[in-house]
Amino acid sequence: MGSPNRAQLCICALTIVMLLFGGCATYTDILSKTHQAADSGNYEAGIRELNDILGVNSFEKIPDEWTAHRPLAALERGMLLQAQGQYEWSARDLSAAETELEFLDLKLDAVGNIGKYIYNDSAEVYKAQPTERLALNALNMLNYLAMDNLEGAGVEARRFTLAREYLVSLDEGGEQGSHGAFGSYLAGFVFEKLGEPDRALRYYEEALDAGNLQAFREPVLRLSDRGNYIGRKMKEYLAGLTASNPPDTEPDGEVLIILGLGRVPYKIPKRMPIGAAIGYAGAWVTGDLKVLGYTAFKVVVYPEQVKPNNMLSKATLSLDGRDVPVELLTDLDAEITREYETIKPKIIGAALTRMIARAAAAEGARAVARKKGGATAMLAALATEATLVGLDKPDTRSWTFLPARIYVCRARVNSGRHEISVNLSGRVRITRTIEVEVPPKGFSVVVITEPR
Amino acid sequence: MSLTGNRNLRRLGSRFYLQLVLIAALVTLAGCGPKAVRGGAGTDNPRLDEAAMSVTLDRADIEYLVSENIKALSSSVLWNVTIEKADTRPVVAIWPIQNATSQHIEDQMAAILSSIETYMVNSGDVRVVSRERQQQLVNELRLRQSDIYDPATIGKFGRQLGAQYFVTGKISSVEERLQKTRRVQYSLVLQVLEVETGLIVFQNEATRSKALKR
Repeated sequence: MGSPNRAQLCICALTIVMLLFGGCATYTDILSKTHQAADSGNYEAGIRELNDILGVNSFEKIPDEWTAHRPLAALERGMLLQAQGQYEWSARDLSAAETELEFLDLKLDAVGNIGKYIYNDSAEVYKAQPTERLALNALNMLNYLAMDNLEGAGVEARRFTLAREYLVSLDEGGEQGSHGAFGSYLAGFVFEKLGEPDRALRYYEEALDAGNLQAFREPVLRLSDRGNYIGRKMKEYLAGLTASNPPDTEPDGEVLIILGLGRVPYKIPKRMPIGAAIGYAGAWVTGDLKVLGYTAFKVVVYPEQVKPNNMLSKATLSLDGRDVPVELLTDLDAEITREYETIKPKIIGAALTRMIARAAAAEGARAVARKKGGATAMLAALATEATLVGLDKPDTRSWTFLPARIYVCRARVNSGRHEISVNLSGRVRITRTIEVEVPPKGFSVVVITEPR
Repeated sequence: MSLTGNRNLRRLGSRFYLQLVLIAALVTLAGCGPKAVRGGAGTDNPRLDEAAMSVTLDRADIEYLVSENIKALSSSVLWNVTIEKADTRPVVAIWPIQNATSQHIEDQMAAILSSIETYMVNSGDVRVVSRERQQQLVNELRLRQSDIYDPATIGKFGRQLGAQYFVTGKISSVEERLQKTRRVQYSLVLQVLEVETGLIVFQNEATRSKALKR
């Protein structure tokens, strides 16, 4: 038997590589058990699954090394810990993940950037999307507010502003929409309580994008008497209020209730015929599309966004037996969908570019094999392309436990003990009673997170 | 030696060789693990503390910010005239420093307070109210975090502690990011308030910048 030629060696090498990496699960696959546990309301089991991904044996621990999916897994665990009322640990997870994501953002990922267009959609380090980036500090503000740590919440409010300014400088935060409104509203609340009325008014003005909510009325009226800042939007809003809705400022305390329900859309690998993909993302393709005529694979695999079957979608509240309005502050589901639709042509374009690279490599293998003997040429091309297809893992990474919708309820109350009845509904129904103690001239923040 | 004997010897040799390679690999891999080192003056790594590890405040930054402020305080009119020449050593309470930065630096703030307290106690010019006693009073009065930095609260609180002066301050930051560089500029403002009048009798600012560059 003669020694193997170069083409056969290449096929062997590629097959070994495929066996090693081809079986790698996508991020969504890795998280499937965590999602199942959360759907059944078993957040504890979900946290255990995430501990495994993070390589630790307890939620009290964070990894020594932030490899692979760990920064994202820390964000996911942070949300489940928040759902369990473990605010201190949740804040620790979100802060640690934020630090790592910032490092990744500053990292020079030349290999990943090129790899994304040549062999693997998941080759690049994870970069948080603008909605995720802004929601991170807003959700962490909630952790600190729930712990009655106003100074910590102030730090998160400043970080939220910095993140937004940075995104605007990159031209990624221009379409701020309601996700910015959620963070702005909370930042307004934080600076109001820290005794900075002008700063609070500026944030409330930004948050007016969420609509004419009742949750704005009383604080904005109260602050506009103390503060000097009145922007154009705020002026219009105040003009509308003073005419018809006089404020009720008798009680000395207040309760702020924030609810985060459901989960945002996540990504799964999906196939699209080449023709349709070219029609969709032709402008984003780098390389000669004619090469695709030689490819044996006639579909493009890309990460498609799908909506989870959320268990909870609605909330009603009563405070001391009296119904109080629950208003939608942010529709993160819509934000994440809009964001994905904007970048989808680029994602499919990158998938097509990788396909061109694969077809070119297959043609190369065919040419080498033909020169050596001819009989294995077809096989060499097919094996090369199949191997490279196996290496291409659609990038399904995203922060999946981000709440789909954030609701707000704010009410003035007298200091003392109060009872809040929470009714959550959707595919399941949950009723909960929470007792809060409001100090004289103080406030109490209640956070209800149900990411299912 | 017979042919079978030779083959056995070769097999034994190759097995020994394989074991040797495995041991060498294990020893090499074991050497790749993290290793704890001691640093600072008098150790093998005297410059270990000098490198910046992140944009947050480390011990070197804290020492610098505190020493700059203390230098200004010890050469101030307040210290050299009012305090040092007082008939009885005035009572000073050290109040929490407000964190107005974009960093969670609770541990660093505790270190700043401890450094200031150490200087005050060791100066011998003032008597310092223990921070445990202050915390006790905060708990008794059920003060919230938002009340702590209120000047009215500080005055009332100071009288209850029997203090003539309050040492307090604020640490703030300006953070900017341009492309792949992130810079944080910290300022520590140190204030001394007279409890009786509520007036600021001393104020100084020290600054320090940290950056993350690629």
